[in-house]
Amino acid sequence: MKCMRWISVLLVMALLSGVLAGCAPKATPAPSTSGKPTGEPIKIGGIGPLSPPGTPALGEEMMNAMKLRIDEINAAGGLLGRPVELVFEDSGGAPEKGTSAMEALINKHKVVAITGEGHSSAFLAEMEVAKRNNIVLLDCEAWSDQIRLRHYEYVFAIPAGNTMFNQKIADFVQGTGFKRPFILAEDTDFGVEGIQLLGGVFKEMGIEFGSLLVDRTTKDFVPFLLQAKEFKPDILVVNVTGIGSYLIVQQAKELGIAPSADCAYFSGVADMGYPELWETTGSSAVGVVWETAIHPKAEFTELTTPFVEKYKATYGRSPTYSGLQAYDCILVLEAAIRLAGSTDSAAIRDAMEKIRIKGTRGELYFPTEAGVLYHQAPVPLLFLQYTQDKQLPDKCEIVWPKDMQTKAYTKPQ
Amino acid sequence: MSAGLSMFLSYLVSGVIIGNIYGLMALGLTIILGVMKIVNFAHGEFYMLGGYAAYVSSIKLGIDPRLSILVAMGVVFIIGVIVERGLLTPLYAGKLDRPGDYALLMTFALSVFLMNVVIPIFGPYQKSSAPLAEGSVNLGVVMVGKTRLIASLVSILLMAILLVALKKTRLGIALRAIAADRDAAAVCGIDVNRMNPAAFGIGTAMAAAAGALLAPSFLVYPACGTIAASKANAILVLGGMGSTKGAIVGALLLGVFEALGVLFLTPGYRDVYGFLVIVLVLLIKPTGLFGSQEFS
Repeated sequence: MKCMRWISVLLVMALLSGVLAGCAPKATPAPSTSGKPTGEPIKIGGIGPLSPPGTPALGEEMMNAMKLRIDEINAAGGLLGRPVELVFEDSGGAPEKGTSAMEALINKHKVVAITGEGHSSAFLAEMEVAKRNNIVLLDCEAWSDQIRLRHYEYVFAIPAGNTMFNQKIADFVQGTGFKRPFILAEDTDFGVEGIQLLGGVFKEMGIEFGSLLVDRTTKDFVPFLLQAKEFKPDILVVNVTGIGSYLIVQQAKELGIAPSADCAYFSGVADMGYPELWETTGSSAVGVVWETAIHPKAEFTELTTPFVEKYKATYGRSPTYSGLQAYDCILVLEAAIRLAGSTDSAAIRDAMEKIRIKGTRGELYFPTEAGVLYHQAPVPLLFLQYTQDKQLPDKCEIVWPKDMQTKAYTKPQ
Repeated sequence: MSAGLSMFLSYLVSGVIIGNIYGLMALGLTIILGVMKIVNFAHGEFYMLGGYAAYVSSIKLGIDPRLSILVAMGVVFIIGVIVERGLLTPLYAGKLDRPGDYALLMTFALSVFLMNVVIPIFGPYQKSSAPLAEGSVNLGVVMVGKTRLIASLVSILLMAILLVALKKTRLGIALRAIAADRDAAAVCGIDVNRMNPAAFGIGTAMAAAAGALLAPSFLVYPACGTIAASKANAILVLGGMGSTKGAIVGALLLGVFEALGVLFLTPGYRDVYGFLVIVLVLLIKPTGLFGSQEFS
């Protein structure tokens, strides 16, 4: 028996030692390539969800896309003659963890500016840290209007804001002829605000709709979906991020609600563009309409394809629009630091309001007029539809907007 | 059938289905508590390990998904025995002043450790094991995914097997004797120290079965056991600490109350309804529904 206990202790110790690397701090210095700039590196902070309850795939994509541009900068001689280093912290998509990550980037790693995040609730907490420390924070993929409406002078946004996004959803719903939409949204700033905005637009359009907030950490969405079913919707609009986005697709299909011939399924999150969609939902996602800002059939600038190809070659998978946005974020910070001619926070902030550069999704600049477009870069948005099992996003048809449509919405069989 | 009744029944069925799977988790926790007198704070992580074991066996190794449930139970049973032998034997060596605190801290540390150990192995992304069956079945009042329905039925089967084994087999009788009175069981010739790994292994295997059964429906990822464990602990309190009957009835009640709360009140507070019932029950009956009738 004693021998058995010693063997067990050894096994547990072996497991412990094996996992030490996995328990190490999450700050990830990005490796740079062979460029030879000299001097103290300029540190740019990256922040995003690398663990649940956030969307790890999103955080990883942002980090990877940022690394690509950082390596390009270093290969081309650096920034202000100095090498550039990306230090990426895991926010877990959660406010409390995101706040700690921001503090670490600013106080421990001494970064000159920060970019990233993919969850509004986390970003809204992180931007308070940026405000306290007067450091530029560039939103990569958090959509809440509150981010823009707070008018923080050090905070800028690359992705679509909720107002912009929800107006496009409403246009799609009305333009495609749906009459009874039902909105399922997560209980975060992104979801709550989305219901208010989209509901407001539906009311203006005279469209009868239902809505429900769901806990995004839950796993059994059946009771929520049964409520939605009771409303007899002809389209389910689901604004839930992370693992919940996949579970709802699967469970809505199991219940026979959507996507079906009677009810369309629209998802407003980037998660639908990842290969994990098919791995975790089987064929349930056939028929799902989702939004993106990238598609081979809608080329944006001459930077788009080279970035997409390089990303595919480096990481073995296609980027979603979040990857483009993350790459653009580094382009923007790079341009601002160059224009400022220093790494002083106030100088970078001033330069951010003056730059006008070409990104992978179009021209990038940050208006200063008050309102939801304050410090908000222009954003293109496309709605795609999966029509086959395991279909690649590149093979989807564009179903909205009308002027870029390659095929009309197809009812699933 | 009226639309209202149909809606009520659909929520009830949904609640019963999920309640059965909660029951499996809670029963495992009850056995560990009954025999070892400890609350296993790492129970959710054994649920998570069961999910990963089912994923590896059904997706990576191509084993039949139904067989992969047994594989998951077997693998986690062995891990449970190793953990008990390696980390929990000081509880019974008589050298600890406060064995309860030791168990609490050790299982809590184990929970954090197991959650982190899977990240370098499987990554932070969610995985799904192969579905137990394709498609859905119409139960008259509600459509249910076949995988979820089978998971619920298998849960009932596993709980029934375990209850019969506890009542009829030598091992089960020994476990019940220890749960009733550890010292008296030892006097009667039962090797109580050999029963601890068996109890811990069986308890963790039950959690693994729940994890494996739910992996195709609820997916598996490093933190997936957290919610499952909180439900199992709540059921333990609701049913009565250490009562097998309480674990099963408590699980069904929790599942049904959650579902009906969504129907009659608001879906936003779904997780609150179950806990509200627990508070009410404890106010009326502080020992839980079935008190501490070990393995009754």
